[in-house]
Amino acid sequence: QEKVVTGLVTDANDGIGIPGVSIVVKGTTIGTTTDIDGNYTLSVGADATIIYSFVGYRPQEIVVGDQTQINVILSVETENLSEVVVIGYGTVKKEDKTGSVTSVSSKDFNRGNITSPQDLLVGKSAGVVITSAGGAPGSGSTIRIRGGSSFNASNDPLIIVDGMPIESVGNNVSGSSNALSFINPNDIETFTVLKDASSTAIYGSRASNGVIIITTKQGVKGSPLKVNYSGSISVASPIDYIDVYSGDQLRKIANDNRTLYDPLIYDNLGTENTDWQKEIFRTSVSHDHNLAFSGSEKNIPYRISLGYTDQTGILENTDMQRYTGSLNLNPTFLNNDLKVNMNAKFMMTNNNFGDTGAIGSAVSMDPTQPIYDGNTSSAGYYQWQNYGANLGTPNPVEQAKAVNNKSDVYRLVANLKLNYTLPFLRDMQANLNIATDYTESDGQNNRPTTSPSTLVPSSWGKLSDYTAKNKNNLLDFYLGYNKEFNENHRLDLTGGYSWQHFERESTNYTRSVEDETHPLQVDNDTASETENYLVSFFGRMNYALMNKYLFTGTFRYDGSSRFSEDNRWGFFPSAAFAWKMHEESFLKDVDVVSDLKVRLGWGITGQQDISDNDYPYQAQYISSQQGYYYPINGEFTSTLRPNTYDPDIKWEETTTQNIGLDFGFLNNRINGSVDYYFRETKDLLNLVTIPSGSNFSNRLYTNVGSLENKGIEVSLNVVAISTPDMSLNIGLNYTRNDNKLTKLLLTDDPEYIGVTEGGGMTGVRQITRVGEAAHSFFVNSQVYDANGNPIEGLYDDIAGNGGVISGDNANKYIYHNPTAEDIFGFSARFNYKQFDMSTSLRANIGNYVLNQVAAGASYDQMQQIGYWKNMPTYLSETNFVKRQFTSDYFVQNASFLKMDNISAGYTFDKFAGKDINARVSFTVQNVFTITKYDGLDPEVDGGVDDNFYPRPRTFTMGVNLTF
Amino acid sequence: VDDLDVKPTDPNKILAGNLGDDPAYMEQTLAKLYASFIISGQGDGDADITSSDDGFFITMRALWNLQTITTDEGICAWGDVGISDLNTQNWSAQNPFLTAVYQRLSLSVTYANDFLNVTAGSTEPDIIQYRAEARYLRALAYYWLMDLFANPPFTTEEDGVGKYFPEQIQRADLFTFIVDELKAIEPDLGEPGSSYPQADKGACWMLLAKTYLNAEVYTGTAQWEECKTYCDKVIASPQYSLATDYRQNFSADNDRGHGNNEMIFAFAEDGINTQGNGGITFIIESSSDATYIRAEDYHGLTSNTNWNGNRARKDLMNILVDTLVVYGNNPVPATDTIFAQSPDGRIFLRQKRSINIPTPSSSGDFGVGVYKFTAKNHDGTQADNYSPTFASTDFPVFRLADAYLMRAEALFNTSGATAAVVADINMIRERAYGDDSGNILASDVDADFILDERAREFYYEGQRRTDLIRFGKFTGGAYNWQWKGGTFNGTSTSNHLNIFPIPGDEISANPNIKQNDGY
Repeated sequence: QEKVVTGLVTDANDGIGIPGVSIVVKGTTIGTTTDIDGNYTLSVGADATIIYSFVGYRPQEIVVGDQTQINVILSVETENLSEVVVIGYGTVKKEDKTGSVTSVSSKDFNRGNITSPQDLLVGKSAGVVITSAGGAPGSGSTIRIRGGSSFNASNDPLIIVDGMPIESVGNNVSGSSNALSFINPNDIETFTVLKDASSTAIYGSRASNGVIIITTKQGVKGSPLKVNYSGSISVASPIDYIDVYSGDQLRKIANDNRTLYDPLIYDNLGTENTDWQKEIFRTSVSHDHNLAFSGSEKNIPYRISLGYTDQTGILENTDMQRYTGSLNLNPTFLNNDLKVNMNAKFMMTNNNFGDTGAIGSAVSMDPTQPIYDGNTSSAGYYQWQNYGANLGTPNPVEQAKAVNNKSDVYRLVANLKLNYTLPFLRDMQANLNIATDYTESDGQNNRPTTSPSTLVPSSWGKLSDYTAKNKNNLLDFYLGYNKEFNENHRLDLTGGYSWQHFERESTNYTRSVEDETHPLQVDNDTASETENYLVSFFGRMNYALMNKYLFTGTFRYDGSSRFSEDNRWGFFPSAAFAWKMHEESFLKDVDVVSDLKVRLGWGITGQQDISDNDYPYQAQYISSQQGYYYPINGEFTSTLRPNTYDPDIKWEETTTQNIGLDFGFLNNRINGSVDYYFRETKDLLNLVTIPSGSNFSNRLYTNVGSLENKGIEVSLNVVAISTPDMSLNIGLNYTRNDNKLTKLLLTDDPEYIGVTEGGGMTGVRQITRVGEAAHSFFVNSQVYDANGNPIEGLYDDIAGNGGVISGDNANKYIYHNPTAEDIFGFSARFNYKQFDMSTSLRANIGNYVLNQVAAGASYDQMQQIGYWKNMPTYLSETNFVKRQFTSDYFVQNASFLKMDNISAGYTFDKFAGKDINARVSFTVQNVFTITKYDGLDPEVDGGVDDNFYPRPRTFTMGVNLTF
Repeated sequence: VDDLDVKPTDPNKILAGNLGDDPAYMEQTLAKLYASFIISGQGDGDADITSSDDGFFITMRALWNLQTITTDEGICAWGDVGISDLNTQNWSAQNPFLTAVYQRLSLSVTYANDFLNVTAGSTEPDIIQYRAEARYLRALAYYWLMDLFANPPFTTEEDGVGKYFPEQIQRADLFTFIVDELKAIEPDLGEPGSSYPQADKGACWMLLAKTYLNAEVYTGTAQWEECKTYCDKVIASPQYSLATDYRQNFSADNDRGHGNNEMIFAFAEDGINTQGNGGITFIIESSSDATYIRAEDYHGLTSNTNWNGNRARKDLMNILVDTLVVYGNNPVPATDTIFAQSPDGRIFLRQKRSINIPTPSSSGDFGVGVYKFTAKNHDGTQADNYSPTFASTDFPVFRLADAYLMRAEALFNTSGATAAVVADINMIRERAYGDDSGNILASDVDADFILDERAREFYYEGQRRTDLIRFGKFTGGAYNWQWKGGTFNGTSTSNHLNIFPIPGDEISANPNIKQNDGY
């Protein structure tokens, strides 16, 4: 029967009543709010449960029972130790985790115009470095957890979405620039990052580079229909341009240096002052809309969301439209014994990639020329008539606008999870997870016949069509046993089987055409298909002794179809121990210390994502395409080539040791963790030069090397202010990782210089050498004059052999590397009444970048096959007549401090007089960068700055309505 | 768990165990042995070797570079790593071109070894002939390895595939292997001219003659008689005759199918079926430019044209155009940029901006342009299987003219300038001049004349370095051409450069391989 309950809701911090607290009877829409002093009155049934919640505070649930007065103390939400954290094939309470696991939940995500999930996480977690490829709409990112354990094999982490390990980032289908973009960022509840082997080893052969588990939002049982709309509109514009010569400046250089240039070329000097970069970049407007319905219908909790994103790039003719839908149902049956969780996510993306080559063309296109000259053979655009087609710089405006480089990508990720508590053994649960991940793309990259920017004559166009399909099916079955014997012994066992099948198909058809229907020449007509399987057995034991000493052991026994029977199976164990010191008697009563835990972990993980070849151990012959035929017995026939293979190829194995400390003080208002790790990878797969005559190519993917990573990670969260009206949360993280190759070859040749990297034009400029960091810069040591200016072509003769020094590997030395030594992340959230503000900053220290834009600048290159070419004004600093690609002068310290975003918002409890909770916000992304680096942006994926798509500054207005 | 036994599902991939399923597979595997010399791999982006540029490092292209731009014949204007070192005889063991030739020729050997294993024991007549062809191509690859690098790693079908360290063979031992091998396969090869462009008995004799011609360089002992023996066999065969028009050998219709019976062995190229930037297409395009020799006009190639890199040095021009005779020792007049006053029909040269080349890497607009090879038919008509991008001109490896000039050289070295020597040389010169006006007398013949006649006949065919070494003029100071050794007038260079270094990559990868002297 109904009765009346009254009470007072107060703040744990100062004991003062809190007004406006939401009070709802669980499973109903019945409720009220507290008055100005924090008092409330509510009629309820005796078996009801009341939920007390208020923004910024941890909600509480209280069973009414026979109480009539219920006073509630709410405390400000800080790090909540009883929260559960998702781990591999299960969950664990945060206070009981033994591995290096961090989770980032929606309230901590980066804000702004974010279209891709990983951008939510940038800078938020120690040891996780996310570098976007650039500012193109929907572009992907490189994610590295603890520096990467491989050299030639994949260094991407395993990504698991709602229990489904998705296709690795490296196998992203063509036509899709971002393997994660199928998830609407608004649907994500948490990211959990598993970093050390004791937490990842249950994923065995795919776990060496860490695991990211993404959990999406779900409906809540018993809650009424809630509708949420969020939308934003963003304006993006280029932050800066590369400083190049104007038409007038180029004319002056041309006239001042007549001895350098062909006399005939002066006929081609124009009269304009075209700023080509301004012609191809623009201020772009994007918008984003999301609608989510969640609630519970006949005891079936549901969440349905729809999303639409229209992102426009700052480069002409680049944009992306994305439609997402997601459905989550999580009903329970049989008296809660059978829990069902069904997820389906669908995405459709229309990409328009444009031609990012225009960015480089805009730097080098002759500024003395006009955009249009009315030449009909090139659709009115000015073009280099003799050579534009082949070797010259195409008109950047035409290059950007005329291309049709578009793709459509469809993706469905769906799974059904069943969790059944065995009626005869209540501590045992059986789990079944069936999942599928299906992606299809088709795209084209076409150029009209009036376009000279392809390698065809100016009267030709190019047509290219491609398709790709990835299928990935999963079946997991595992049993969990969870028993608390008494307060001293708690046991949690998990064991199971996993099967996963990957299939990939693609086609490509490229031809040069006179018009759409008259192919003149087929350049490429290929189709490929490939598949691989993973079959695994796994298990985990968690044992807690006296709630103080925690032991975890896991194993995985993995079979991969990529290896021969002799090497197919790998065993990947791990062990961890944690000591909850704050539970010890000597700390239990020390109020200041709310959490103190030491963690020790050890484990072995593997890597089987080895290359683009799914059959590396099998001897096979590959046939050739047309154009690569040879006549036998008078007929042109496809040729069959034995492919290089290593019958003994096997897993890479990484052994990780981790020691960590979790701490929390003052009721966890100050909390954080420190981790030190040491990782050693052996049987490292490397594409090595093999002895000539021993195999079917000059290089072979084989297990030869070893490498080490060691590092330290610190994270710290502080609730600096916590009052009902005001709160300030600050997060800090620090990462240091040292990467060193310890073996690289079949032989131990002390003279071996290492694996070199560099183009045919630039020469070798990067190297991976034993004892050094991977991809270190390998350059000549520049000699300077008395004024500190580089002397062209003069370098230290390191080898002492005389002769030509520039470009000679014997005279190069290792000079820094692209990876940052120290990485800092900082974020802050501030609330004052209904007003909130947040910001994220990052700093990378000790990363170096080779400024290729500057290194390519020289006076002699300002003329090219009869035409003028522009140069960046770096040239006025070096005054180099010839290009000096290998000078260390161009390897520059690119340490930086960036403010990634700053956001302010205001929340209305009642919007337009209705029961609508509304938040409006304003966000700026890429606010500022402080760096000594000369180029546009010091954050360069891979370390060679060569005209990538610049990251824009974006202003976003957002609104979020809930009713 | 049985799912882990996967087989490739891609129809373009065939497991080694299934090679016997279709007889066509044997022909396709054999086709690969030939293709490995002239095209990059199985398709765009799928080259046989990993390098910084698929097209640059195809065997015949890189081999042509090593044989041509290191000599008085050619010089390349491009700035790519390694090119200027070849231009000036200043290479190191890191040079990407010599690395590519070494790795690719070794790979051709490995492919042949694999083919011999796959076909071992077969009694089918076709397969027996294919096996002989495979051994021929292996011998040819070894011949070039011996010529360029002297002491390469040595493997045969006895050696497996995997990760191991092949042994190094010494040059003289390899010489013995090559001649023994060629003699052993001769009976199994097709009759002369019967299976062009596949290797036949004629190709076998020519390679034997060429190997014996250089025997003194390779072994220290000259074997002129043996050289003559095999030249005789070629010349005696009714299947071979000199083309009436010299140019036909360098045109799209230069194959035997178009009636050119001078061709003995060549690597086929075809605008539609056998494409790539590795052979004649490379020679044509790299020698074309937008001003003097436009590929659109000279060769009918309208796409991907005019790379403006290679041209001849003035020293080659001086050999080809006897300015003393033609211009009375006066400078070539500006009005005769194509040397039209020279009566020799083998001159396909054009003066560019200046005959002198101001710096080795200056624009390809300097020097003497060469358009000897063309993608058109020899009468100027469009080629069969025409492509605007790729030539259909086969890459000549051995043609009958070489049998005459090798025999003349062998005879000259055993018995001096006899009438037989003069007769062989005049066979060639009569074809070049169209009549006997260019014929020579015994008194004209000396060693230098033979070397120069070889330049006139075979320039730009990838033979020059070997010829200069045999006459002692490649290194040292006996003959300095413009930019030899890195100076404008040319300087003496060290004799160790007669043999290229073993690539640094190989020295690191295989502890059994010892570097050549001087490097």
